[in-house]
Amino acid sequence: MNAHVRIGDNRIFSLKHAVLVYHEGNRAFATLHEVKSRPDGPPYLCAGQSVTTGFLETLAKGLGASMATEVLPEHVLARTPELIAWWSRARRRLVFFGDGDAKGRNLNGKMYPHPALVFLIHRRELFVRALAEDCRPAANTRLKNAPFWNTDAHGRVCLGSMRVPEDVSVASMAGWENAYFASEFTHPSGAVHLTTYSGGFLGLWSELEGRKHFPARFLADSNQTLQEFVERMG
Amino acid sequence: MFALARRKTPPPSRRFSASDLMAHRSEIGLPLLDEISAEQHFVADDREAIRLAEILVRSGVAITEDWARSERHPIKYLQLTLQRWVSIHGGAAIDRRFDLDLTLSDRLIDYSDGRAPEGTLYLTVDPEGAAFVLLNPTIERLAQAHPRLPSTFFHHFAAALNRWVRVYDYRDADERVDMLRQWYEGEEDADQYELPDVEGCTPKSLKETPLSVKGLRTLRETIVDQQVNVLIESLLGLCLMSQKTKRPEFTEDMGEQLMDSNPPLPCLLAAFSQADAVVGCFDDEGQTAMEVTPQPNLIIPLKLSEPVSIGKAFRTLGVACETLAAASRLIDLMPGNDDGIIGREGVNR
Repeated sequence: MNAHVRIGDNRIFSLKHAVLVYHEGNRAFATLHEVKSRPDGPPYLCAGQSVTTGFLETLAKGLGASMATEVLPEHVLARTPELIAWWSRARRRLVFFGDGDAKGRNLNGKMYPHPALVFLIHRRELFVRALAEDCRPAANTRLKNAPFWNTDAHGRVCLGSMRVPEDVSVASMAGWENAYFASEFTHPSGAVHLTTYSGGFLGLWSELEGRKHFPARFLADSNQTLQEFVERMG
Repeated sequence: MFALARRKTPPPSRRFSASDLMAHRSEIGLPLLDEISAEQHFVADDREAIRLAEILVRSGVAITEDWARSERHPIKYLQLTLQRWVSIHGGAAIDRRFDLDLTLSDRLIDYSDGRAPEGTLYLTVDPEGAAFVLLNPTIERLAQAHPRLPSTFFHHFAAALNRWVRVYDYRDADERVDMLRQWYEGEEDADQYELPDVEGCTPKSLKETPLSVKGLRTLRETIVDQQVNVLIESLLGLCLMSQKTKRPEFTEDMGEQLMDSNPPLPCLLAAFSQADAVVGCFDDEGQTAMEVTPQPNLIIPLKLSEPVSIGKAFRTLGVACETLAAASRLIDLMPGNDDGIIGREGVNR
């Protein structure tokens, strides 16, 4: 009977297989060997078999480089095993501000217009950019900085205690988006030009209260196209 | 001993010696792994592991000698303790027939976020693959001794094991066929579906009413066939062991963690012949058995706040192991079962 102990994140990884790579000039092949152990001796390699593409796929899957087959909805912009990017139409959303800032407190829990946004998840990190126009962006569309606190110059969101979905998939996109807006914006993340509005960030959101649409002229340029945004992560 | 005097004379006109004609020694050999670590330990928070290890030492389940063997690693220490505990409760006999995993974990579904309540761990038993037992030769032999022996033997054998782990037998296959029939019934060409003939492969002798354990003991006194007597004796031993303690109850927190899981995977497939309808149904069910994570076969909870209960839980595990070992030894005695032994040379332990 094989005994395993899995308490918390503690694990004992046992050596089960070894891959040997043979070279001759610029050609190479690899063999996969089972590793067996003896009660009183070092482990040894069993006879090998050629490494197949099937094995490499399984290995890559084990390393997380796998992607479920999914039908992509219209608003998905890019998808690789490591990232998913989508855009979301301009709309009014509820915004929460942390109570660390007195001005922010007054803005907390109200509906505000938002520009169209581009979301990107890369290895469980969330990135957000804004769009000047409320339509699906093209590869060369210039992106704007998302006018939100907790979002740095690269668009990276400080997740903090945000309760985000477990997986990164088409099905979980809405969950990530909701999680972003269900959390509090508490502070600016580093030196980032969040808005061109003369009254600054808090002034902008005070100004937006009661408005139906987000004025695109108040969005600051990110100096990045959509292609550059997704390529940087890919 | 003296060394032989060296030959001083020069060799005769040199052409080729035998060694020159031999191929050079191959440099390819089995790579040695002496310096390679066969294990890597990932350690995070091991407070629960340490707490459990302390309790196990105090309750006499774990031994201090294993601490050095574990290189003072609490998780490894617990693993060695589990291995030793299984070993002294029939591990070798179990491994002859069964391919099982014993897991000590803080959750019932690996990779799940839903862990056990704080301070609770679980011992679970699950199969890597199902063991196999062939019934027909035994049933035929028993039928010659007494008409009710086949059903009695099968009933008690399956019941004793099912008390601890899941056995897949003709009754499971029957259920499968019934379900398939219901699926096809509504279709226009329902009569064109061919279903496994479980009824047809089931010996008629199994329809007899089985005797109780007490009745079996009484009957044994009258049996003259030595092989049948040995089978009955071994079966009675299995029944006795199986009932030595109660299986832990399935609690509410277990139910919550296993809300969306499949039934346990069978640890043993009991078929009448090598490729009968029961095997067919088993293979068919096997196609979808892993679509959703299956429930563990056996769950024994360990509450760190109740040290006494932990010793009891390990004794319960001991009974489960001894039951499996007794079943393995009984299968060894059942005619026609020479093929189900698992070769474990060099197996990773």
